[in-house]
Amino acid sequence: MAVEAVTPGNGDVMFAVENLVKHYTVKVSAFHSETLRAVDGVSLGVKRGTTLGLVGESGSGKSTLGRVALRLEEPTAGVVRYGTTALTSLSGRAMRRLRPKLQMVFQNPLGSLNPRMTVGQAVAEPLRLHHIAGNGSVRTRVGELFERVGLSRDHLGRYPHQLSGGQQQRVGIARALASNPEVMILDEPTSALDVSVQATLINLLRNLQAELHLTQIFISHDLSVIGYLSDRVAVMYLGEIVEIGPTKEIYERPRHPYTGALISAVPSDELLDNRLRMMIPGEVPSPINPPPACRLAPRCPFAKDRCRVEKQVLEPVGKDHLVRCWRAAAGEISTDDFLHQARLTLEA
Amino acid sequence: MATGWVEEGRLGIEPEAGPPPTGRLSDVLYQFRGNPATIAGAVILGIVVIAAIVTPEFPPYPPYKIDIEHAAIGPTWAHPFGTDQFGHDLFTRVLVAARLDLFIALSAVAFSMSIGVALGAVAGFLGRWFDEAIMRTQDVLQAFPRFVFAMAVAWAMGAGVFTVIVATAAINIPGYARLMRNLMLTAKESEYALAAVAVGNTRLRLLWRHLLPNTLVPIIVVSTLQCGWAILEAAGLSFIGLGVRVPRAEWGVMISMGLEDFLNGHWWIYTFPGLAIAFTVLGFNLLGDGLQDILDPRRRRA
Amino acid sequence: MALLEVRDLRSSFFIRSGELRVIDGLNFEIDESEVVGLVGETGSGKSVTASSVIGLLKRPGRVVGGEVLWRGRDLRKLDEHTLEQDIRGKEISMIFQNPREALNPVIRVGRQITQVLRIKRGMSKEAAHAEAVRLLESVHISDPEQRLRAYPHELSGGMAQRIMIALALSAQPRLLIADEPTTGLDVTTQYQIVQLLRELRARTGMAILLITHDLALTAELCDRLVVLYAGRLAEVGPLEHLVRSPRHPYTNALLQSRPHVGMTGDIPTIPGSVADMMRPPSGCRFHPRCPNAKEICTELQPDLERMPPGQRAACHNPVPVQEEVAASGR
Repeated sequence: MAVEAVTPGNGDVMFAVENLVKHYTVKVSAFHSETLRAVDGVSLGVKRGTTLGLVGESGSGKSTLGRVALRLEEPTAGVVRYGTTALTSLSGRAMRRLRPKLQMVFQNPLGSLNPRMTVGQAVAEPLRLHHIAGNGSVRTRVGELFERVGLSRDHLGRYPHQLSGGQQQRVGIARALASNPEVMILDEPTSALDVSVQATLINLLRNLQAELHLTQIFISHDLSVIGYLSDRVAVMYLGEIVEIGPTKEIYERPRHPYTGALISAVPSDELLDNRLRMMIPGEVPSPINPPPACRLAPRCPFAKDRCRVEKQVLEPVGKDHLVRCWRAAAGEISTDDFLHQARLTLEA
Repeated sequence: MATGWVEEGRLGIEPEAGPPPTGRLSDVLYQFRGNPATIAGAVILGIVVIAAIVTPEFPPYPPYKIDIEHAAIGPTWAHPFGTDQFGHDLFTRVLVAARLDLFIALSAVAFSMSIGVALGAVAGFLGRWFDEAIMRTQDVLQAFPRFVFAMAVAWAMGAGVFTVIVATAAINIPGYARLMRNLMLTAKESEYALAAVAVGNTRLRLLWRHLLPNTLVPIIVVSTLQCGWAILEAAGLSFIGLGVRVPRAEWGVMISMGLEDFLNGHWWIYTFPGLAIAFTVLGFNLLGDGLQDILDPRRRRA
Repeated sequence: MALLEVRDLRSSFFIRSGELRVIDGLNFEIDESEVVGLVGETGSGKSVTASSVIGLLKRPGRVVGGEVLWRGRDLRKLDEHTLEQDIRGKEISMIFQNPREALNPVIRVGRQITQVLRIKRGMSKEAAHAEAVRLLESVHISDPEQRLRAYPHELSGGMAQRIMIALALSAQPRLLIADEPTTGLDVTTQYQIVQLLRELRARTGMAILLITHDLALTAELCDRLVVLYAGRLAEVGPLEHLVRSPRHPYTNALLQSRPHVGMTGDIPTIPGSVADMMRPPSGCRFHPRCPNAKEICTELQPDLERMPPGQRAACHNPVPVQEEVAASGR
């Protein structure tokens, strides 16, 4: 799948992955191993200064994708590009030299901080590692970063466990910003936090992105947040992208049944309206032996025989909008069918 | 493969757990006060340490002077622990032996810990065939029956204090190596390790600055408990003659001296050194358990 | 008579620095077959409320005052044995977040279920097994015999939660307390669980106390909401009224602070941070963060008063009524 097809307009793609694959070998018994296909051939690109939302549930591979894209884990196959550089071909040393430009904010605010380092030291580390500021000015820069993310300088000498979850995550953000990155991957940065704290942090992230013109991939299972922050959205299921397109279109007129189910679960502005839930029965199967052909077929209310035997590919259904479903691409099923399905479920 | 949600501060759980250690002294003392076992352990070891430091400098009786007239006297006010078959006052000797036994135990633990931890850290961190190779050598080492191994060391180095230390240390290396390896494997996968790589640490720096400081805590707890074991092992080796020689004041040797005289019914000669060992080992165990409670955030006092 | 009546409940945690008054005078009721949502964020005391009600609050926490009336009997006055025998698992059941963690990881699921059935309901081994199968079927788990042979870690989160629900319902309790039952589960699974709870409640007529921080979840299931802030009740009333016309500024802020598609500008947030329970603010605990705060708010904790359109709120300067709601007379 050529990257161009999943990237809008081709202009100025800052960060892209091509046919990225990550498989794990899992030992099922003493003599038998299985392959866990966490990421199974994903291609996408993010234009400079925009945010791509990556949505999926457990087993989708979205978090793995984030880590592999930054070579925090090595891909099994595929290429990752930063500008024109293929990150995947770089030596360890060369990769480390580029790391300041490619940063990540992690999911677990407390877990992503070394419990035995003060938060000031944690944020100073990238500055020192990459000699970004002279020794005297490291302190100044750390102080500035703290302020930028809304932390008081009083916290500089504290240890992570002495801060609240929201504060811990701000430290994580400050650390990621310390090296002046161009690309940021955010892996569920607010999922572990209270609703009101989430809101504050999301506002912060949104403002930072605009101010610093960051190119971002925002990974989450929370569709409300993704819808609010992203320019484009990619939906993952069992290691594959099933739909990718502009945010507005994905949310207003989802084309893939799985997207339809996810979108129907988003609370709307009026909490009490929109009680229509499109339900997909069953649970997400294990990525160890994903269904052949269309991976949603065993659960999909719209599945036909062809779905169970023919491997599905991404096809265009609109400008910069692709779907991995022959029925959707052919116009056989659409959002209206999903709503109808939801009504049926409600009545049942 | 579920997305990990962290429960943030569910008040139903956090105050029970208590805050993780800040390392401040007042904090440590507070935890101590709440833990009777630890206090008991600390007191016991305190007594032993004082005995070890003070008694050899100011012995109530000369520990090595043979005095046949006073041989094999049972416990009396003049000799609270009695005397052995050579007339040595046992109270003096038991207390004086504390120094040697503590020295042997602490040295053995220090050796086995440093070597074992180093091996385990390398195995866990580098993984793959390093891990396999190192762990297999540990398997081989662990396969030796302890006393056979000690005998081999004694044959090579001659009996004595150093032999006991080396033999005890060597036997305990695999335990540390395995523990450290497992801790390292877990730490390697942690999110802060990932973050450290993302920020630009080299592998070496990751190991040194991030992983090692965080894996040492359980090792320290284990070491405290190991000290107790080491005393028992050292005493055992000396008892069978591979370590310290008669008539040096060392609990294991003293027990063997007592058993030589067994048929005469002079029970106090072997009993009091035995009790000393039990007392000291108990102290280490209680302290070790207490440390575990203190250092584990979930079991700390709120 | 209400099924459950909580009067002036107070619970505190006694830690090194002093006493944390995590619940400070809570009053609410649950009627037969009602679904009540207990809503709050971290530090609100919502989980402690559940533990306090059924007497499972562990050291250093302790219930220090108030009454918990279950069908007229004060549960606080019962001894542990009676509570364990007669109430827990029988009249009041509870399910928790992270169901797999509630299970013993080295014992097969089937055995854990049959153990409970045999102890709580005195069943024989065969009867318990048959009942276990029936329970799994009642929560729509396919191939129950197979599932019973699994270990907890082999189950998905959704499946494990269904099993816990089935177990909780096995003695036909009148009240199910669900403490964050869907937090951590996939969105699609969450709604399956909600659907299941709705169905079970229709079938058995039991009441549910749903404890959560997720307002959207409450909108799916609850008849009434109880909103907690820093251990005190902020607002309580029918779901529609609270959502369409909240009176307490905290409830209002919670409703506002969710992002959604097409929203421009910053998400409205609540300034400041959660009240420090060691030194809670004087008067109304929300006042340091409240857009409507007046001087009296810093001095006097407001009483819970009836307010239109049909709820009760503890506020000296409540949010104005949304006119359409009042006019429609709902």
